[in-house]
Amino acid sequence: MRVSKKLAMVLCGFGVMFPVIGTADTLDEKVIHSLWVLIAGAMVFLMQPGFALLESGMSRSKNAVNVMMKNYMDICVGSLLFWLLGYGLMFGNSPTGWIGTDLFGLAKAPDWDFNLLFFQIMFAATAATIVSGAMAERTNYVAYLIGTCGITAIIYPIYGGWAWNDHGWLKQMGFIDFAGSTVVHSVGGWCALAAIMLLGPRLGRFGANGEVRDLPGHNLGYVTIGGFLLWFGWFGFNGGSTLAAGTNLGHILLNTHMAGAAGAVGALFLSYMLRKPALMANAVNGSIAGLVSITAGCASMELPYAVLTGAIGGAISVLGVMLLERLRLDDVVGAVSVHGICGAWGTLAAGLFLIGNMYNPHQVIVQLIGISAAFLWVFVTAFTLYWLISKTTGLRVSAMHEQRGLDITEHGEIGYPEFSHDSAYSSENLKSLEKL
Amino acid sequence: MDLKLRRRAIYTGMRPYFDDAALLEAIHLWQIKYSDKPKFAFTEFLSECCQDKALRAQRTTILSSIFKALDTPERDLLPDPFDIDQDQLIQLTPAEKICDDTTIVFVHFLDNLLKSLVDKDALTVRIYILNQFPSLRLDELRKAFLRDWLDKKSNKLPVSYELSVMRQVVNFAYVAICEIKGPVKADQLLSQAIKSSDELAKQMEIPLHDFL
Repeated sequence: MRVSKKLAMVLCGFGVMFPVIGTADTLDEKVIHSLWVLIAGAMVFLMQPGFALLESGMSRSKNAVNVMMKNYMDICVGSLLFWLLGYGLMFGNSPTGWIGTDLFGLAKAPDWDFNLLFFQIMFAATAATIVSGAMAERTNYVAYLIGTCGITAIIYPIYGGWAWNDHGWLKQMGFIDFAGSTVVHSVGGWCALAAIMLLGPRLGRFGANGEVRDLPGHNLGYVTIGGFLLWFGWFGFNGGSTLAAGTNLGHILLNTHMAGAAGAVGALFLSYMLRKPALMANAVNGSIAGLVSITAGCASMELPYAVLTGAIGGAISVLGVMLLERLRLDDVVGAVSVHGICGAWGTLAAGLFLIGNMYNPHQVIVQLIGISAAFLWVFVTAFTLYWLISKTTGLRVSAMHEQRGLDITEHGEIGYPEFSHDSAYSSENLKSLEKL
Repeated sequence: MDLKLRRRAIYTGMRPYFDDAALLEAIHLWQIKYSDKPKFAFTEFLSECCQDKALRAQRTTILSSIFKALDTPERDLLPDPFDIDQDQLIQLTPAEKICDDTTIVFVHFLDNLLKSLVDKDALTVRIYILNQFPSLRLDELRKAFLRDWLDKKSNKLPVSYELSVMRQVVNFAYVAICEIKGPVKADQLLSQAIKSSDELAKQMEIPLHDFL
């Protein structure tokens, strides 16, 4: 792949971190590709604070620390588990196409493998952290982290291997999921679905007569900044998935950006049509839904179709939330809708709008097989995992925990100690509270 | 027919069909929600307290049994299930018969929390708390006093309660308010109840947060 000199010059700006690079003239292609993948991985890392802000902002202030802590530890626990087990299952030698058999706990390998591992660790952590928002405000912290271990060590890498390992059975069929609409986002979304089905809704979320009660998040500013950070991280997520610094990056990033924009517009347009207010959370979720939707086909779709895919994704995110509420499933941030359902839509769209091969029924069927396989594998294993957790350590906290808020009961902290005048619990009384 | 006699009759009529705990909860329910309603409300009462399949199938029989008991002479009725056991009361030491400051503040606090609701909602909260009684680790006598207070038969508690019990009762009230008004409102009302009880708590040097 040809590397433009201008791109090389830009990448040299990061040369401080990589002293091996002197001037553009001495760069070889491998170094530039490595550099791009590593920078992209670091950009994907920035999605973690994005998720932390978004999910925390959508939760009540008494659970703000807990949500942030879950996101923080997701990347820590997830990285270790994926390195030890997940990477091998996903990218190890896979003679059957179902499961990788080596590369566990990678210690010695060619440099390029470490680039890949670094990049893929960020993806694994992203899949895991999608779940935290859906389960917010009523989940036992340790139980949640055990769930993260299961996702990053087993559930995500096994499906990922089917789709992304060179010998994976889905990849062999011609399944297209360039950067992970299904591999990363639907996997996270379906795990979240299984978890919230077992958890049950937060206290009082649904009234006895079936009414749906809104529990507004405590900081819409966080939600907005979280949305922007995620959007920025997505340029690394989709752009980095080329695994090479090529000239097609502009097309991929533009598709990504435009789909995100169209997603927000689609969500707000549908809200307007349904005579609902133009909510900030809907706009942010709409843009993320657009980004999720384009992730599978960002490298294989013309720009107008990327816009269409994103806009439909945004609309689906609104409808999905309404559907879950009707089913009395309490998803605090709309993760099932935005990541699960929109991930499936995006993967289907990647088959429908494939450049040069639009509406090919064979490709569409392959995409549907991949989407269905993801749902079956992930939902069943995640449901089993969370069911086992609920029967051993316990998945849901007690009503007393929900009353106090998980910041106090799980971490012994208050998120906003100086701003708790109107709250039943304040920092000066924290130490006198009896442990639960 | 006075309230006590009717209660004894209903207790007698329902006795063969319910276990002890379920029967007491059913009698609470009747007293709080149905005791001032005409006889035909028994149908609604039974549909509310006969939740499991076996009891639902026997509703007509239970209803007949209650009507029969209501016509039974007083001497043939079972004793009042809500009577405070006088023997147990006598056995209490003078120190045990004192309601300590913490319990006084607790009553004040919970009263403030319930007063912040409209009557209908406060009633639902009281019923919810009564329904949770089987899970309270409390002797029968203390349960009876607490029940009387929640039934508004008395305006204070004559004995002291452990903090863990009081904390649990507050949590029951919180859960019930969450179900009725939603958790956002429940948090607000909890906070307001703390503020309005703060003065008494400070006077008596009782940390209010012990109840939370």
